[in-house]
Amino acid sequence: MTNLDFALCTFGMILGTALPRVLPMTLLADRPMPPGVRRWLSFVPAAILSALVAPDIFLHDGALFLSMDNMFLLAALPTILVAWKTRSLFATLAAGMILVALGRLLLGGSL
Amino acid sequence: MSRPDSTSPKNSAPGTDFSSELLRGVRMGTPIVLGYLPLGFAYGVLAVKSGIPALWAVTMSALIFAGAGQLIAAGMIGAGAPVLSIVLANLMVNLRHILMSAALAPDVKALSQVQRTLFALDVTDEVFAVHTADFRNGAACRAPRLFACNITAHMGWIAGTAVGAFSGGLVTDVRPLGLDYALPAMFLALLLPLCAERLHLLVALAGALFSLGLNLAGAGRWSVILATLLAATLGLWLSRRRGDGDGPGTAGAGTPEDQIARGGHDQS
Repeated sequence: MTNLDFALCTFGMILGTALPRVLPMTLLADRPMPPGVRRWLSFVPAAILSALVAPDIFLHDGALFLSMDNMFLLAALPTILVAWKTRSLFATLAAGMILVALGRLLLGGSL
Repeated sequence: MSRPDSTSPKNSAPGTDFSSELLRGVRMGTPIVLGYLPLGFAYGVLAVKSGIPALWAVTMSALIFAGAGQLIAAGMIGAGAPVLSIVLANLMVNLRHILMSAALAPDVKALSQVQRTLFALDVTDEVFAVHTADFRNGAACRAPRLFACNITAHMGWIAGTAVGAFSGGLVTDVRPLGLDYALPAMFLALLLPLCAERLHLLVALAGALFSLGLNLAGAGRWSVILATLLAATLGLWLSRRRGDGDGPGTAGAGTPEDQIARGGHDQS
């Protein structure tokens, strides 16, 4: 990438990050939403986060990767337990990264 | 980049201690910093490994402040993806913030539009979660606290990035450190509290299955947004079938729905 590419990329990412955060808060602030829209919106965070994380854990190179070599999958369950018990971003990140690092060290998984 | 640390005093009611609100905001932001230092470090290292100059990586963290979007962008830049596809991927990942921004809107009505804009720019998933919990505990809308929290979190993100980006050359491979697990672990940490209610847990499972299915079917980067639309619609359909028995009150504490629902009724 050239510096121009980085600049364009950064500018586009500023817009793509700022607009979804700023527009609702400034424009919709005083308008109540219809109950159906509210209800539908309430499912979006859970849906999008799981849709984001599932491929990271279960797929490798576009194919299902269900194997003892899949360190991301092996680490997922204990990481979920830590997230559930502590509700702490820091503890969850630390647990997940340490587990993956340890797993690779001890088991030598391919992922 | 300048943040309105010098927030206008008109939002501080008489008798409110400016510095104590400021201090509270910093304290609210501190746990977020603990999460963002390793995450920012991971991003900084990955960014440099992907061919992003260290200074650009830090600049992006200062100007963008989107953990997931930046990590995805770093991966795509490393893979040689075109600029437009990176910008679109970042936009799609950040669409979820529409919901969070809408949810917080009623709580920041006391701010001016300029203040709302500056506040909204720093509302990441974690910042949203912290403010939501605070407002639900009855906290008033005080600009010094709101901005102190956001700036604290943002500084953590920039600092983590800087350390990662400038020491990234020392790390020849991020995999032995497990740094490539920062993003999945962050998503898991954010996802779990959202699944307190059974219907939301079902929606999360559906989102994961739809996403995997669409990925395997070759939908590529559209699979996340399509899976989200499908799973959320499934959730609405299921809740309608159940007769909407579970009102906002039964949802997990701090879900955006609670906030939005509150915005519809309160202050009347």
